[in-house]
Amino acid sequence: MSATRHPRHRLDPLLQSPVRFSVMAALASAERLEFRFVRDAVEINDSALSKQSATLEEAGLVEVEKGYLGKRPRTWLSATSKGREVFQEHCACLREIARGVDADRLPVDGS
Amino acid sequence: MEAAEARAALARRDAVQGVGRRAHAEWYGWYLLGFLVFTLLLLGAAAAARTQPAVGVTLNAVGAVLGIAAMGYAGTRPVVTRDFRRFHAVFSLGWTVLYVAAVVVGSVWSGGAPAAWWWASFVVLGAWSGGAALLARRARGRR
Repeated sequence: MSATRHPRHRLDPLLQSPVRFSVMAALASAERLEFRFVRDAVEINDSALSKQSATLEEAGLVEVEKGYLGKRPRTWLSATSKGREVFQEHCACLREIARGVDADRLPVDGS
Repeated sequence: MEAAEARAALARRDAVQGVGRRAHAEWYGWYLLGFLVFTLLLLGAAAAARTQPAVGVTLNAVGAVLGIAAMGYAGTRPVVTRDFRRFHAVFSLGWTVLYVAAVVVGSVWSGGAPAAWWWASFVVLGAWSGGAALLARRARGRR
């Protein structure tokens, strides 16, 4: 047994979905983004983004704000501070994995 | 997860973030250029019209309107990058210092201009800050 664990064990399960990961990537680099902009940047449709952003909001990673620009309704998405931390940690693990850590050579606790 | 998958995820992150940066870059470039040009204009005018604090006051009143407009416009953009508000606050503060300096120095150079310049400066700054705060709230959907 060893305390050394492969970095994949530290990946956030919620962000292992490519869509949710991309949404968080977009939001992590901005203060806030308009819903339609995220939809186009991530290349998904409205309902898929609604669903994924609701999931991320429930987990406390994203904040959804609804408002008006003039008379037009607008929805804004922003990453919470917890969301930014989780995303940074997730990316740090990805970088470790990308550097070529070999899973077979790393002993993993309890697995 | 394999190394190749991790690299692909990181590449996807970079690509998505690049879209946001590009969307913000052009407007942000104009914003910074506008601030730079106006600040240089203000300094030049203050130096050229030493005995006329009205020049500095007028330019700053225009600057106040532009500052509020810039904040309002930023709120309508689909992308607001991180730290933009902080940048705006720092630039506005810098401008405020220039403004007060122009009024005070202008008053001294003009041999003691009326104290109304002081009050005018606070009125303009109040309008600037209040207007910017109101627009920021509205842009975030809080009426």
